[in-house]
Amino acid sequence: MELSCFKTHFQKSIQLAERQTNQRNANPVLNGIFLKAEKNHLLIRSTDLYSGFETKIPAQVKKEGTLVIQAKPIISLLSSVNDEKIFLESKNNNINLTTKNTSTTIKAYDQEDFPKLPKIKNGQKLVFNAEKLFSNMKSVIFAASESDIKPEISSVFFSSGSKNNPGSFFKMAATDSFRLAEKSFDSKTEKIDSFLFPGKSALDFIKIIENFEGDVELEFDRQHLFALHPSFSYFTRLIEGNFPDYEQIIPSAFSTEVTLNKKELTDNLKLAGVFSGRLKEVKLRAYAGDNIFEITTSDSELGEHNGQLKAQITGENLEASFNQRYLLEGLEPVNSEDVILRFSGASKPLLIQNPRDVSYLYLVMPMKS
Amino acid sequence: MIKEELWKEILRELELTVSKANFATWFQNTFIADQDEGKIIIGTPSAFIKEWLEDKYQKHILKCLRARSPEVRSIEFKIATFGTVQEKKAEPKSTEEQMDFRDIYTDRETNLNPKYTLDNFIVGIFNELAHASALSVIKNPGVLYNPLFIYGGVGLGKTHLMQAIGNKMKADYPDKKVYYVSAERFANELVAAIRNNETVFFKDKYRSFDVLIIDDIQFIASRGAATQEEIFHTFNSMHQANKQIIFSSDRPPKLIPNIEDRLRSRFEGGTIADIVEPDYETRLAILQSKTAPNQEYQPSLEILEYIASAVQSNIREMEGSLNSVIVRSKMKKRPLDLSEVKEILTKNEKPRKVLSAQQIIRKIAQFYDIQEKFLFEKTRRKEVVKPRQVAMYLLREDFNGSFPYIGQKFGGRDHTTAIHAYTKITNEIKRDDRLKEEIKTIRAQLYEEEKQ
Repeated sequence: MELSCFKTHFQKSIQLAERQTNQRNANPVLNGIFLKAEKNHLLIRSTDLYSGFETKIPAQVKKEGTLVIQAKPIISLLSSVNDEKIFLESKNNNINLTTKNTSTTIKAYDQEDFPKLPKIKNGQKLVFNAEKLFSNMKSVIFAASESDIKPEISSVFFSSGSKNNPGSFFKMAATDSFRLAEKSFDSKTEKIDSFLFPGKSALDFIKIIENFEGDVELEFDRQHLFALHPSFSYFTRLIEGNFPDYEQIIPSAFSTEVTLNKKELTDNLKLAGVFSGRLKEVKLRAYAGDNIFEITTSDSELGEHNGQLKAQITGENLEASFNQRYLLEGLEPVNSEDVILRFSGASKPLLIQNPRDVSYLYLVMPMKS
Repeated sequence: MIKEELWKEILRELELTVSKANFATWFQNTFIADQDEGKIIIGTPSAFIKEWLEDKYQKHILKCLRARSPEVRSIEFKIATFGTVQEKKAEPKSTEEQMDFRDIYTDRETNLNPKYTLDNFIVGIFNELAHASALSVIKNPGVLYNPLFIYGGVGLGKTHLMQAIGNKMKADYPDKKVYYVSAERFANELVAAIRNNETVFFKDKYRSFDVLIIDDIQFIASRGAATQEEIFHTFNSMHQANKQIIFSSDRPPKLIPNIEDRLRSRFEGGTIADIVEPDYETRLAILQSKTAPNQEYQPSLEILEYIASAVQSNIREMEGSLNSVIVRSKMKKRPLDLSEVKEILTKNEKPRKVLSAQQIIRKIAQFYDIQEKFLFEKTRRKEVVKPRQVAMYLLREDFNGSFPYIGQKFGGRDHTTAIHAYTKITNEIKRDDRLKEEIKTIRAQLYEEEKQ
């Protein structure tokens, strides 16, 4: 094969494709990335046999052909190439990459076939705007568990409507059993069955959609999901299992509600974090009568910190401890100047929301103090 | 030929015809999932592998199969995991300090918290009677021991056992309706029902359960006759229908004050099992079970032994001390030595709540169900004399009151009266278990921390 293309297109695609490869595969070819030059584009595909990614970039193809390349050396190489255009050519099991001033030869595999992304027949379909899908997934995915011991809680849960409000809106949620993030948004979608998007795949997937505009169509059945976009397709298996029935743990009545400036709160939490020790413990106190919200941390080795913020507080005085990182991560997606913290007591979960928009909610369990 | 054998042979043959890497990639974890007349269904671990095999190896596999069993007409592939899912690694232990949603998660239908199971309930001499009775009840609900009445001091695992019985019942008898409720909540619900004229609904609700678990039943002593009567009737109708009832209490039925005799005799009508204080070996075993083997900064055996000997009467408190030690060593990023642990435990010993004389006297009056003022008056009625002496004893023991002060406190009595009361009770405690039990209970209530 022989072709030329824009370096940025090629680089971006190879980086995304590299995330889907499985470096522990017995078959070295599958650890690589499949290239296929045809007509006026270059097709790029990779898989770890559970998920897979495929994209096409515009290219001037002189000679059609296929090749499997090793991802790592190519990525390192491209990061220090400044040219706009690059030239790729396959020569007896090698790939030559030429720029204006450099020429590099990297070992590759002469390979004609490579696993395709499986098709899903008669699945249910959803259509999302890529940017929206990205921001919505991003606002919950951080709360998923990183361990894959319990796959259902290392996943992102997709569902439509709710028991008392079917259809018309869509929901995503993730939890690691210590905290839970949920985002709902309007959708034109009919009611669909819920599914569990595996955590690792979800991270790969949002990395992909971050780079594209326009609509993404998701088609899924009980076991798999296929995402289709004019510029790429993505396939992943889904997790079979039940996401915890979390709606019942979201409190509806609160003993203390604190409204305060989000930036002041996050700045203060970051500062307090310096002294929050290995457990990241911060003590929060709400003084209802004085409208003061206090953040205290102490570390036996370093010292202690105390910050006081003006806040509107209704209900009772309160004192509770939380993990500082859990608070900051949960505050991040709140997109308003003010934020409301709704407590139900020192050993009950705290609900964090935008005071004027309930589409995002974050529920976090306290620490035992 | 059986499926497994057949597939093994096929794989052996395929291994010779494809490269090692390809064989490992495409044929690992494949198996014959199903056989239907002339059709064989092959299980593959992923969609990619399924499509690849369909594409590249279908004919080849079919040929090998037919060579061995000619009746095979066709093959199909499906996605399936072979046999049991691989052994799951142990769940990473969350840091003990961070609570998780399970801590608030209780099953709405049963009011049970799934985190309490029999598997994580440690059995020792101190609670084996209660545990064994519980197992019998689970085997023969409503038949053998009805009611089951379990009593024991604060923080010894009563609630854990009660909830675990409920969870096990739920698992073993999915059609039975199991319900757990604290006596306090039961009483509050009842009072609300009476206020809203919904008593019929309340009665129907409780009588619909097949297994009813009421925790801390001693609580109803402070409630009125109406609550007790409702419990009595609920109990009777459930008992007649052979439905299992389980009570827990901080003391045996005969020591629950202010309950109607007919209710007391109902409590005693099944079997009564106590949980005593665990002995040293058991306490050590509990501590060992609470430390994960691969945990960072594992406290040494010496330290666990020290904690087990230092905290004697309350398992919950003992676990709390262990947690403080682990937290501290995480902060210091190294295991602690014994002197540091001792320091933590002395700091941790909740300074015994500083009680006022007034609190002690009020609690005693409440416990023995007499009016406070009688304690200060000159009356020598038997039902007043004993509580008065117990009050004097406790004021000396726990409040460090001087004898003249104590005498003064009780209607200007002489200090010799206080000395007499103190020595009398001190001696009687050694002989009279019931008195010992009463004083223990009074203290437990005085010092009881809020239940977690």
